[in-house]
Amino acid sequence: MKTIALYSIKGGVGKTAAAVNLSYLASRDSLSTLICDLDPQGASSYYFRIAAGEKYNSTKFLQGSKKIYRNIKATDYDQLDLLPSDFSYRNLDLELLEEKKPQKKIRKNLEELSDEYRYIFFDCPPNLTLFSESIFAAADIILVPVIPTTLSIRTYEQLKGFFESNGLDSSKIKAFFTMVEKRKSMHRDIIESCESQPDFLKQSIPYNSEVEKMGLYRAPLNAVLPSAIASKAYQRLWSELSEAVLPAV
Amino acid sequence: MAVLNTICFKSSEGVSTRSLPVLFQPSLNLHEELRRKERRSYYDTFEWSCFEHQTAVVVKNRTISLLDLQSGLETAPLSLKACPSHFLPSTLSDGTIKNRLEFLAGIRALMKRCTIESDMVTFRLLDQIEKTTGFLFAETLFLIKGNRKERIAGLITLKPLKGFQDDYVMISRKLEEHFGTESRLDVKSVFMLLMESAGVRVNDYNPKIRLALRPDNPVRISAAELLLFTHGIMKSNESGIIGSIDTEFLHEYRVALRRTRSLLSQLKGIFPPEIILRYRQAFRDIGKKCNALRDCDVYMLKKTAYFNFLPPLLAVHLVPFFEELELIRKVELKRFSDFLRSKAYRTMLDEWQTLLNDALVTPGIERESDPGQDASINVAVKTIGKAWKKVVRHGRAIPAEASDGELHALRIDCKKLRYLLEFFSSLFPEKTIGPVVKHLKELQENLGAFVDLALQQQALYGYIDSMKTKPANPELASALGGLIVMLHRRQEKERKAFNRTFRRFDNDETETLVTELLNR
Repeated sequence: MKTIALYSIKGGVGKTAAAVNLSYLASRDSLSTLICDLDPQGASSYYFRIAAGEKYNSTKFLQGSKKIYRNIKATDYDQLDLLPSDFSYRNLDLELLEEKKPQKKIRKNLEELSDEYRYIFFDCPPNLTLFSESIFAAADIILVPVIPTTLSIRTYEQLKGFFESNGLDSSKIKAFFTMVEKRKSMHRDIIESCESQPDFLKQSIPYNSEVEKMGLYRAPLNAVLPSAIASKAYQRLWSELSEAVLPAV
Repeated sequence: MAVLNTICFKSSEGVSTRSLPVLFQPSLNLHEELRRKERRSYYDTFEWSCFEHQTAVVVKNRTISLLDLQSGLETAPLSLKACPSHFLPSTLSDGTIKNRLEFLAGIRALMKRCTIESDMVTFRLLDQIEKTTGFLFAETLFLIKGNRKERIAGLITLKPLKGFQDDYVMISRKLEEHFGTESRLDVKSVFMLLMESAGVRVNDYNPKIRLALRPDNPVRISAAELLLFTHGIMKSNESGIIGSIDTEFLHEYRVALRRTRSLLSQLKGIFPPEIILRYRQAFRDIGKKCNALRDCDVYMLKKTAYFNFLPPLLAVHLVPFFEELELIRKVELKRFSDFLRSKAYRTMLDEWQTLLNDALVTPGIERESDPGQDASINVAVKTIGKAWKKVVRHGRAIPAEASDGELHALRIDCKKLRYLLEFFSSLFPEKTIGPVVKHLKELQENLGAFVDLALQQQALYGYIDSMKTKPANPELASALGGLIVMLHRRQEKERKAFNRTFRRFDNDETETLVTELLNR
């Protein structure tokens, strides 16, 4: 089982779109895949038209495999399941504080799922908290969407700095550019300046209004419009991830 | 979360899809997604080992998948180049399906059992926010026999989706109301229906002796029953040998042959001496005719192990050896297949079967001097007792450093005892005979491994000897030499293990069990 966390301190960078499309593409390779919506906003659950059961909440999530397993739901796509988010996830940080080893909690809770799933994707909330640290420990890859702007790059550097100052394994962090507008010179310059950095993936996702329409389709873009420019870019990104990055972790 | 099982409803009149959409309204809408024809071929081993583990092997659209006959869950498909008549699990690409099939089938081939064509309409069950909560498949099933299509049944299948239990309960209830409870089938029943329609008898082969002999029956009748059983096993394996489907066909054929010979030699007087002599000779000749073919099979099965025994630089030189073996196997297979098809062989087996059937209905004249009239249980006790004593006597006489000849001879004694225990097992309580067989099995494994290793070395020496007349190939000779060294080391390990294994067998516990068995 490989776990991939779509993470960024910043919001609105395309984490959910990437998590939804990449998990869909992983399942298309006939590999059983789970996407865990960890963001209390529940955007990926919304995209898949799935809501958590009435009795499901953050406490159940922290109780571990069996409770988690009971709340997993099949998406409309073969081999792709989803663990829906609940609004109570906003309390996860406080609840984690009560745990003995909060940083290791998520990894431990998902252990039993390793028999069932080849890939687990986390759609993470945009912040840097104890919950994020628990996600960092659980993930094999922390995949960070970065908009090629100065602020985004700064936030990305902050994340790497946090890993270094806390003795975390920063080799897990991989970044890719998203919402790229090639007509903007700043975008082009920033991408060029990061080209030689090994933590940046080669493939990037262009700005494409179709991605925004995922909220209307309520489905992965790659499922409804596989020929869209962004769909093709996600496909290339998944190929790079699955062929070059994931086998090495 | 409990797995939601796939359920089906059978309709002999066919399924009208028109009535379906209104069934689940207003809670769910039915969205017709796809109409298509699909051909599915079902596979299993000769022994139905996948079915035994509640699994159906399905090949469709150039993919293979495993269907759980309890839950109806299907594994992710694995692509397959063609839809072969049979294949070995080892030939599949690496992955879950290969691992599972290697576990279920081992070295047995998966054989195509039947092909079904499905005329299918797929529906999605959509809730109020258009989320799919399950699938319905409305199918008309046809059996494919060559170019002919034969209608079997109409079927509605509900495939639930994980996490949508409430909808599942509602849909299955509505379907039950619509089609009637009596038409509800689980996935396994559908599988059985398909096989039955195709004229395929599931679980029709089991090489284990499961006869219920009667203790007071004349032993001639019991022997005839046993011999008819072994005759049946030989016959059922013939086509698999000729078709070269897998190596187990020949192996089981030979086990049945040995059992036949063992019965004829150990149960004296069950038939007139001239009959016994004739058939002992005939069955011995058959054994000889397939020895070389079995030897080739054994080597081919050990191919990977042999390569692993040697360092890669030396192992590579074994390639021509196995290539030659492959050619020899082809010749031997052709020769033995011709024999199995021959009129002489068929006539012999038919006459043998007639003789056994006659023995069942006319067991002979009742007279005191006819040993065939002895009660089966008395013969069982006497012969097992005798064979048991022989094993113990010979085993105890073997010194600390056992010779090849001593271990060879003891192996044969053990085999004879094992066969007798298996033949007559139904006459004794399972709780007594089971442990005796278990203890004996361990000893047999040790002796079997020892003798096999000796025979393999002998054959390799023979092959090296034959190389004298061929162009020099020092690399192959050294590889074979290396192999002999490895086999010899293993054989010596087995030799050393013998005394310890025999002591575990020849102890108070086994003796008590055997005494209990024989003094019933």
